[in-house]
Amino acid sequence: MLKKTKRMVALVLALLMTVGLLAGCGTEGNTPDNPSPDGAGVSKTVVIRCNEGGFGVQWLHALAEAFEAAYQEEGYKVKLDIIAGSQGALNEQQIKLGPEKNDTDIYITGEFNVPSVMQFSYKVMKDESTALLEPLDDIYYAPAVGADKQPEEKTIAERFFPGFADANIYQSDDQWNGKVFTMVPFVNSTGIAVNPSVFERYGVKLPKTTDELIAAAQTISEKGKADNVYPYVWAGNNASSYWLYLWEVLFAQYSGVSGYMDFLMCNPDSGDMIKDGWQVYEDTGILESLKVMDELLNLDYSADGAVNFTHTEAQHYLAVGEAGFMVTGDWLLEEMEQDYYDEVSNCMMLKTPVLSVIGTECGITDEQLSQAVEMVDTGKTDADMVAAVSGLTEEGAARIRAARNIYPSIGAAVNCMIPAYSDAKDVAKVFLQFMFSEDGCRIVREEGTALMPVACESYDVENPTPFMDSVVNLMNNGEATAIFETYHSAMMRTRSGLSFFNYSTYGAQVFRSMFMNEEYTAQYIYETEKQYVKESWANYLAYAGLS
Amino acid sequence: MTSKEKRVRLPSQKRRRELLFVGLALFWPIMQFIVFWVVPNFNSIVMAFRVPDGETFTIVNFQRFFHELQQPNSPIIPSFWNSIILFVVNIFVQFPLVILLTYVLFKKVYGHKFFRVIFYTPAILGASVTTALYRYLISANGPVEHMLDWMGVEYSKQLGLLGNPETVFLMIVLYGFWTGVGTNMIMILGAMNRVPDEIFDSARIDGVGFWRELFQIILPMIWPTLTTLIIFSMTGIFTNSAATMLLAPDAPEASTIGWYITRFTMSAGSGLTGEILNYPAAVGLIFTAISFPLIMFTKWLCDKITNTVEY
Repeated sequence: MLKKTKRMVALVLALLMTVGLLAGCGTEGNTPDNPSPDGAGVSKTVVIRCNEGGFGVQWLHALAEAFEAAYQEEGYKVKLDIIAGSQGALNEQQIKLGPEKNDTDIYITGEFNVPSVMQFSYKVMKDESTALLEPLDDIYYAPAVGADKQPEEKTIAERFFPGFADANIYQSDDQWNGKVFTMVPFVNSTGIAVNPSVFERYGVKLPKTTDELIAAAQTISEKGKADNVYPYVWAGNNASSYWLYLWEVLFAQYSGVSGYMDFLMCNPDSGDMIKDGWQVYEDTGILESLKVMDELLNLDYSADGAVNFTHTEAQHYLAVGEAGFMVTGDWLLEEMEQDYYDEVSNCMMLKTPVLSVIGTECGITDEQLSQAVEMVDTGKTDADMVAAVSGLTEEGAARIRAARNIYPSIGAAVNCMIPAYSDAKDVAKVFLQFMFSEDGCRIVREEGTALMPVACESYDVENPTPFMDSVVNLMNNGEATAIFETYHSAMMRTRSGLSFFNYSTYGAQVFRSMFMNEEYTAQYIYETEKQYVKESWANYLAYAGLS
Repeated sequence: MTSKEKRVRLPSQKRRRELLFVGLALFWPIMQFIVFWVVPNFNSIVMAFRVPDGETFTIVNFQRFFHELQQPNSPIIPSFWNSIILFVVNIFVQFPLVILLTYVLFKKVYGHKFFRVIFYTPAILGASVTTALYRYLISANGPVEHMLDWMGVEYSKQLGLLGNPETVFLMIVLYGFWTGVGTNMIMILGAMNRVPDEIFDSARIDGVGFWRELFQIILPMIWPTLTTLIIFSMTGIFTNSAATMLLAPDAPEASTIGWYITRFTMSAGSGLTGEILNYPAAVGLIFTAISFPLIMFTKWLCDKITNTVEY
């Protein structure tokens, strides 16, 4: 009897495990609520999958609630599927599963390789003219629609900030070039975050040029030693690559946004990427920006032990005023608000100081450059600058203004998109129109700590925290231009693994290495990288399958 | 149907039932094996011979490995040696020490229960807890640094023990040592406890001492368990990445081959290094080709060293 019972129990367990295994292989797919693809666009329930990133998800709950309230008569519903981490690769796979096994109607996700997914269009859609992602041109080039269901004055495209607008346009080597399949939901600006109390304490003004930045580091290093306060902190354990956020904007300041974009896309002057793509590493902007990094990355300026701090540990140093600044992103407040809301609220994102060599090339001193930058920040015209700063030409003024108005962002790494086979794509589009409306922006602004990359009146809130105010200020009412390191179209880099820095001695850990080894000067890195990429170009083309 | 016919059919029915039972019981593990082992491994082998989004056969990923290997200060070389060092320390330092410590506990020395808790604790705690604890111990201005100050030992305060290229790998070796002792101890103590008491009684009557009992009785009798542990250690030689990932992921001096591969797979889908799973797949295949004969040789060697004792 006992033997029989044991066998039965074993059988039941085996069956349970089998069911568990098989259940894990499938997803919800199309349910009565989400009917089959034949009835595409007919469901009234939008399933939104969003990852819990540095931008939080509270705003999405609030947005969903407001959307349902606004469209109560139509019976539109929102179902949220919040996932931890970006899981871009997982979402890519899910979209490729097709309508039978995927009921998600909107993805708000990071680390998602759009061209790679688009290459599966025919496989999933069985139609050469249909892309796997739903084209959003009809809503992107149309006005957003808020809670009053009335179209706003400007189109969503017109309201998108420079840089982000370009990132929304699909650029690849296939038939869908120039269309809009994705929309960037957040600014996610990066750069230098400062704790102003540290600067005030040691009588140092917030730097406007790179020479001032280095001088500030030197002063705080000398004066703060007794108090165990350091000029800056960084996360050498797991986020040493964040120094890139500073380097790339310095590079873009010198070479211009177009120069930076050419570097990112490996687009040489000749336009022949296959033959001459390596030439983008000859840009002198790389050298000039590396020179600043070389001077700044000094262990005497860095918090003791920062070589192995995690990013959270480093942010703690900044929040409590044990370090004057660090390179991070506008997610700082979201990540630290639980323990340090008040402290981080009083920190601020700094507009990246302008490369001092730009001043030199414009024929003015660093003091004059600082004065010119101040004038850009206070809304003075180029003519005012030329009049006030002796020796500054109009060309020089324009160059300084352009350099000051560049800010780095990882925003383009996160996107909103709709699978073409979604059975609720009509409602999903209405939701995106709502999300990018003034009402949507206001809700995101009030309920979250991230900002949307579209011009909104709701940015002018009463009593903003200094931190959020500084983040808004970075964008300069849409006048500033964002640069990204994760454009969809950097195909050569995404496919071959060609990073910004590749030489084996330091590789991706270039800035960490600059701290540790005096041999790695700006000149050394510039020369070796140039040589290495030139010699290895044919290999990288082969890795990308382009040779 | 006569009772004789019934008797003839019964064994056949029983056999069918048994086959059904065995089949159902094996279904899940076999499916799991296929879904989570056969398919991913087959897929990674295929990927190693392709470029991203490419359909054609290529050996470019293998060429890339040898190209990277030939670069000055290639990260592959230190990663390789670090993997070897971790293995050697594990087998030739940690193992003998664990065997000795376990034997001491097995002999029930004074306070053995207390020591058992101390040694087992890191094995019981989660990796996140042990890592946080260890990082705290050796952090800037942490207890270990205070101790070094007190002892007058010179070290770089700016870099810290985990940030210093000269000490970071040592810290990782020590972490592996600290967390590995308990796990191995549990396995070895289990094997020692299985040795029949009569053998020890007989040895005691014959006047066998502490060391002779360890080397001539215990070790031969637990050799199959030790062989298993050695083989396990050997299979992990080029996949060992956990300690580096937890303690110093950005430090090239602490990299192992396992971590070299893992870094590529972890960055897949993120920004610039988006679609290069093919290269780590090729590297994995190369090191499988190296480690497989080594594992087989080690197994052969272990089997040769001593005859298995049945008890």
